[in-house]
Amino acid sequence: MKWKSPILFFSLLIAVACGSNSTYKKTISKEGKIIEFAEHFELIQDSGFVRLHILDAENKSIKFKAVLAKKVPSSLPKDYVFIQTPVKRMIALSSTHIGMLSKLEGINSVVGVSNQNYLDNKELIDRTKSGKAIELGDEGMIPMESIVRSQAELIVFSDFGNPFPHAAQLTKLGFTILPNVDWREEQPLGKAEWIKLYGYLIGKEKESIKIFNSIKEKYLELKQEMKLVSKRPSVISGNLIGDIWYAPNGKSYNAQLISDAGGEYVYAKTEGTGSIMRSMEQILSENRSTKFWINPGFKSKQEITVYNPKLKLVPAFQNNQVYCYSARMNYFWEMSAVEPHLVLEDLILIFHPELAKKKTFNFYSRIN
Amino acid sequence: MEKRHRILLIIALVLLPVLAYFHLTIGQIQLSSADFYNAVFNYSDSETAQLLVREFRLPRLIMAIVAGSSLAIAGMLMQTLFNNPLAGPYVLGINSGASLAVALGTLSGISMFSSNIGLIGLALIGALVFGFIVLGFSLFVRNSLSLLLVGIMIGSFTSAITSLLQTISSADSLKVFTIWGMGSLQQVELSQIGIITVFFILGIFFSFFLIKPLNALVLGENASLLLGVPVKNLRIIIIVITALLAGLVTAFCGPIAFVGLAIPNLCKMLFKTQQHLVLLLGNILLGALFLISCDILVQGLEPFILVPINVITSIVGAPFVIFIILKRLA
Repeated sequence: MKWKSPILFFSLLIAVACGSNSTYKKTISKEGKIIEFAEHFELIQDSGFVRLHILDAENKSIKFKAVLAKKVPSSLPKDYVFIQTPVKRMIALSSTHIGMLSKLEGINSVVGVSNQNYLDNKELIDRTKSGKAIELGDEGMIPMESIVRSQAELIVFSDFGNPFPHAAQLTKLGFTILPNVDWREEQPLGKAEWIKLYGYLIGKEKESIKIFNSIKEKYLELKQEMKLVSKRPSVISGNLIGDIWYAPNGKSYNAQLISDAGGEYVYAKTEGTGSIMRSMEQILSENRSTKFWINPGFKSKQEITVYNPKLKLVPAFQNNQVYCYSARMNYFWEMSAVEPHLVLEDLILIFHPELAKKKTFNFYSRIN
Repeated sequence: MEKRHRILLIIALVLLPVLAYFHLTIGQIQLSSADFYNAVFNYSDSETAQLLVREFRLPRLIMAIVAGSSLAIAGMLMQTLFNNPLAGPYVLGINSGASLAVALGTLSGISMFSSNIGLIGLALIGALVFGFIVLGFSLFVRNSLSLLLVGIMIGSFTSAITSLLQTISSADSLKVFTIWGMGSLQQVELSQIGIITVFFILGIFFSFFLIKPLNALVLGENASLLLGVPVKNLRIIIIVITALLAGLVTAFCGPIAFVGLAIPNLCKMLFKTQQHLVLLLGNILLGALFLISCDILVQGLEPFILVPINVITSIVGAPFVIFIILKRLA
């Protein structure tokens, strides 16, 4: 019977390997497209390399084109930048980038971050403390010499419309600057799918597809369950900045999450994907019966009233129905984009505690 | 007081309740007379309409009156003291002092300083500290023009430090500071109106005692001295009253531009007099009318765009100041 074990082991190994490969292949469409939900980037399998297109945040035209491959292809397509993979030294300036790299266990490729105070990932904090990753400061004012010192192969930055500082000089020096517009995705799964970009960059393509498929499955399952709920509690999101309350628009990422979690977002019918602005008078008159207030951005009710005493007039505040991710702010910003199913679990626990399978929060907590 | 002055003042006095009525009723939420009556005499916080009147519209209107009048009086005092129509309540560095204190507090990242109360406290401290610094200078600097330059230099100095703090602050802190700098009449609460009104009335009350010496000061410092006006003491009192009034407004509303510069000039053009009794009453009324009008515009634009009050006062005030300069050159 001894001979059976190695055979069984190798059979299993082959089965797992084939399974992983077939999942990988299934994910790629006939046209070579690797992306299902994201609307602001494309990964296209070509012969011997992968084309990366980053699309403009506003008009979805192709803003950045790159070829990802281990070696320079014999015929590099015109206007494409070549990015040699796996990228071993990367500057990642946004929390969501770090969260995705963390999920892929690729933090060891990060050699530069914006600010250590915004980090939650312990490994990366240790890397910055030991000098393996350097702090570059605010994106708009990064000194060029710091970037040169980092010896990064690739700089990934959140593109909000402004060019990266010293972009022309850095390109001349051989740095590749990759704009990231994951913030513009309207669908939670669209934003999470950006993990594939990082997977392809650091040579963990299959892992990234596997992780994303697992996230997708869990998210869609929860969403399907919530489609059946008969009562949808009303929800408001956001807070005052000065005299203006900024709330997510009806087609935004946050509005989608509320809807998928079985909530009735008060401003669901507003158009657009950014924020709507409301005066405090409007907020009060339009939210007299709104049950939940999420994402005020503070840790306690006291902090909220100190920030602006008029916020205590919001009925959900008076009824103790305020929830936020503020207890672990950095953790939320790092991981929520890549794990939208966990955000969804939290929102379901807030809106429909009787239906929630998991009875503890991942990111959120009640604000007391 | 001339008949013409009386007529103009009565017109302004009649316009005040008319504009105040518009200000109270123009918001996006329609409110009835009964809502206003009940909000004052029969208040129930479960009624949204009454809540809006009591917590938002009344404090906002009162603040518009207080801020407009205070800045206009402070501007008038400064223009007479420095005998310069381009002087304003903020030339003493009061605004810059308040800004520096708010910048130090908010940009430090300490959340308490980013709160409503924190901002009020910081601005008040900053305004008073810099008011007293200039007051200290006024004891040694005899010439008003030199004192004006000292005020401007202090303003430049504090602005430079504020800019430095801005470059090293976090995005959130910078946002709080920037929004504070846009000014707002909506931050004040009904419970704060009492203390605001007390300081406002004190400022106006003491201003009335200055009417005669101010009339003399128009003739110049030397002439005033010959007329027996204690110019040095007068200067100190004017600075204290200006710091009080401008500091009060800056603390509760943030810096509000151009009111203190434009309204005293408008008053002089309308009333065509140097009599400070007329100018004082005129500034109180016109300052209030101007800021109420600007805020009506803010509220009228609210369905389309939310505009900070400073944007409106600057858009209206800046061309007017240019007009004054050109008129003087002509």
